Amino acid sequence: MRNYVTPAGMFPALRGVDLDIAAGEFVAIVGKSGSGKSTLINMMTAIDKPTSGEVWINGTAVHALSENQAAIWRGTTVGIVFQFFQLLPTLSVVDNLVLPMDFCNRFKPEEREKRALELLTIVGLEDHARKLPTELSGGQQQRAAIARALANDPPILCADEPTGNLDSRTADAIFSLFTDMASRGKTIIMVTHDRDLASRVGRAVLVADGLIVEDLPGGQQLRSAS
Amino acid sequence: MTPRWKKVASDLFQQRSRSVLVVLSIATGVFAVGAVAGTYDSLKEGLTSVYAKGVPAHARIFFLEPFPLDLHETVRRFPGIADAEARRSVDVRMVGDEETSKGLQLTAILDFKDIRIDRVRPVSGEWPPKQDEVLLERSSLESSGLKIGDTITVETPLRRKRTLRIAGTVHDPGVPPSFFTGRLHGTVSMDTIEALGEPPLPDQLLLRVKMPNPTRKDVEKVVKAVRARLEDSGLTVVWNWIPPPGQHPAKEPITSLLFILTVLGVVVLLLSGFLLFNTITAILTQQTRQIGIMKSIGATTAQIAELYVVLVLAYCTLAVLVAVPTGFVTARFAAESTAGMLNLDLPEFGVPPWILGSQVALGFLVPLLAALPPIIRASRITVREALAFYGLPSAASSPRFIDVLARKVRIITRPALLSLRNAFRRRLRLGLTLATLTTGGAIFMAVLSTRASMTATLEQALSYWAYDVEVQFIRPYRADRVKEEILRVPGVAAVETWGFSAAQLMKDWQGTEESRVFMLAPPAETQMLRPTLVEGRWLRKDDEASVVINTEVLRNNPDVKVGDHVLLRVGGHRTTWRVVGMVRGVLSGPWVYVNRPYHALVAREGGRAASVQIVTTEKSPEFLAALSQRLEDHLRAEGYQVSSVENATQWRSRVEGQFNVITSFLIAMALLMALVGALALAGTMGINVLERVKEIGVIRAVGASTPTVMGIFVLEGMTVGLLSYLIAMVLSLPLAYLMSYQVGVTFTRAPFDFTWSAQGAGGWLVLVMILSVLASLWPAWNAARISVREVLAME
Repeated sequence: MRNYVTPAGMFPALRGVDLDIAAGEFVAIVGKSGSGKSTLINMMTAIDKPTSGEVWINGTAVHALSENQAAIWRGTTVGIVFQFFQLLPTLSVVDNLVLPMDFCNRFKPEEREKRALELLTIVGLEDHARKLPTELSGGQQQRAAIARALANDPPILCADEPTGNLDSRTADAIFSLFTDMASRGKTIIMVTHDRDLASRVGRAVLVADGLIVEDLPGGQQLRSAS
Repeated sequence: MTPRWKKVASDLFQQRSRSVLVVLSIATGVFAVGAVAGTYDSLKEGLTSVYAKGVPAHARIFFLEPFPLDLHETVRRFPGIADAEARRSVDVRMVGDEETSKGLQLTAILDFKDIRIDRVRPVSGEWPPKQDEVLLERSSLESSGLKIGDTITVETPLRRKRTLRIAGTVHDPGVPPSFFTGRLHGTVSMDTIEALGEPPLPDQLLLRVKMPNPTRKDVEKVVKAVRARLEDSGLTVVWNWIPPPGQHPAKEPITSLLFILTVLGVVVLLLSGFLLFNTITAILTQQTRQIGIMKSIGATTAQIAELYVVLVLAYCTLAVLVAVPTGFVTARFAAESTAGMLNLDLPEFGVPPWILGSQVALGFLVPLLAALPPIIRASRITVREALAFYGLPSAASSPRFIDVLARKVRIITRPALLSLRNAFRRRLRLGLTLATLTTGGAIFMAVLSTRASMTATLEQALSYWAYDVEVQFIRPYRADRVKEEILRVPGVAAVETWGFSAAQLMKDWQGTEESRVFMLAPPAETQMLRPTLVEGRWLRKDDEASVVINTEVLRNNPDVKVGDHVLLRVGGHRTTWRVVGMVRGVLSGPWVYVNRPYHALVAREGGRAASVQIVTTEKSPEFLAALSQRLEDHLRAEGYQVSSVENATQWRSRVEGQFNVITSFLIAMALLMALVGALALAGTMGINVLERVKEIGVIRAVGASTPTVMGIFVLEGMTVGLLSYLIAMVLSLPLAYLMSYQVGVTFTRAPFDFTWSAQGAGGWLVLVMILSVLASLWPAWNAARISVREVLAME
């Protein structure tokens, strides 16, 4: 449960949510804007904290982490992909990938760049490694952002509207990248308002007005009016 | 280099104009500290230890008649005396063909191989001087326009003429530079004195007392004993002079001036701290999202803080690298030009470790202290806050009066309204920018008002000598005849004869303490003297033993008050006077004024006069110079022995020269202040543009032209400039008053007549507007180059 204080008074973004996600699942969280889906995923990444209630990930009480502990935990456990890519504009693509390894002191320093280049090859950006983010197209930037999310080899990938800012063909390509990651054993949680995409994943959770209204296995169309 | 340090490097080098600005703002403070401290250090050395190397005399005793050649050897054995040397001075006049003749003091040294006191050092040309050769003091050579090898014709008081060759130059640390005093000095051998028809014997003793660091009192005690012994043996002492022991006479005023500059330097440093706080806050605000991203990929608060601390340290390093050398070059220049004006030698100019140390310490500490609060605040931001951050607080928080203004004044266009509102969006930043620009402006205006007060005071002091030309004779002549003679010269409007004596102000008749004063006896109803009374009253026609002193008498006799009785020795006669008034003296030396008839009695002048004051029909410098020459020729032709003819232009430029030393320092500081203010504004405007890139894109998208976009920012800069001007105007008044009071007391022993400088106020208005436009033009140009596409591509 999460309360927000807004000019209109206390506003609960989520109420009585109870959601279990198993390792290796590909889960889509679907809902209109303002439904609470972003708040839900932000609590899973320790970006936000519940006002009451608990978040447990892989044995860690995420809700109890301090801001600093959360940063360290997040760096190695969760890779985050944002709607607006959020690459650091002054660093080259490959440097953007090495940065999380650098902060979390993962892998040997001399191996980091090699690993970053491998990740870029996976997302098909090996030829753009030395470019600055602004020289890439939106789809390419999002691929780079996904590669960065994988930099520290986290078991979980969280993506908040990763295709929200892309055209449908590019969105498809990005989506298949996530499916690929899922098949490599990553747990993937993706927030989207695109019902078609949601129908193509292992599990779809529909959030409306801070409540989970439907929780369906993959391949099915969400029925609720939204 | 790991990516995070690459990020620091790219923040440093890719945002070049911002980095330059930050580096400059740190550098300005560090520079000011280095320049002032370096000047101070070098001059302090020059005024004390280098000065001491010339072994300055603790006392000089002048005798009425020349004395035997071996007297100083006897004096060396007197108790309390460490060393003694004898010299001879003759005042001659240089007679030129074209220019007006000049006074030249020739001092003979007995033995050039054994100079023990007041060491004269050869600078160029020959050494020692042979008969009929003169070594000019280096500052005299410069101001006389003569060259080594030239010959000059001199005339002694007894009208003997002789031609001397300028064989070289010397440095005599005890001689003030001649462009200050208007007098020339030269060193000769005793043979030359003899060739001039004067007895080749000394007439003054230079003494050093046997004590490591004697005080004035110590020296006085020894001198008193020496005088008593010499007077018992039949010699007549005219007077003795005891300079402040162990230090150059100019040390005190120079130290005061440097203290004022130090205070201003510290202000500059603090202001540069403000500037940095603003800039760092802005950089961090601009990077809020980036901080959020770094945190989302695992960066801790400490890692983020470390990044920005390193960035600040990099700025500091660059700033110190810029500021230390420039500070020292400036210090060197300032110290050397001041030393030139004081005829002072400086130590080899080096970088004293304590200054270097404090520059480095301040250059890192002040920026870090200024930057730490914003860095800590920014690095603690949570990912959620950082990602939810979308720029500036809304314009709704702009002060109400702007909206009222906009409704009332219809001409205010929408873009102009945007500028006005923008100026008030970041209140803390605006406050700090205003503080910097306002302090700069207030000090600038205060300095110019101080200068105006100084000029007004000087003007008054000079107009106080309301005559245009003064003629002095070697011996007194009948006053009515002299007047008659002078009135015959065309161009002379009025003549007065004044009595003049050199006198000694004594503490008691035993000669415990005495100081030289100049006694002037104008007619009580004189029209040629307009003194400014500080206390008491001016002389009246029936006054007898009454004296009016000027404020400079207080320099050596701080206890004298109006109403006191003072002892004055005039031409060997001991006289007692009552102080009835005090007038202001401005760099004129200690003068006392007495009534003409009573002075005639005391000085046994009768109806004669040695000094004539003349008012002329025209006042132009050319006219005065020509008239001076005509007067001199005429009087000589009539058989008068003229000692000197000086006109108003000459003494005005001399006194102004002394004032210019003070003002040039103050103006330099004022300009530095203005620079800091401009940097602050440029910084703020640059930040404002960076922060509002998105808004600019939107304005562009709805059709704003390049001039409109630039205009918005330039107008915003001018709004801040104008606002700071208004506050600075109010602040500058008390500041200017304080400053001109303090500078006046320091340099003339009396506050200046306060004059508010309209020029300063107007000048700063123009300057601050120009600076505002210049400071916002570059950021505005950057703003205008932002394309809609770029902005939309951002997110």
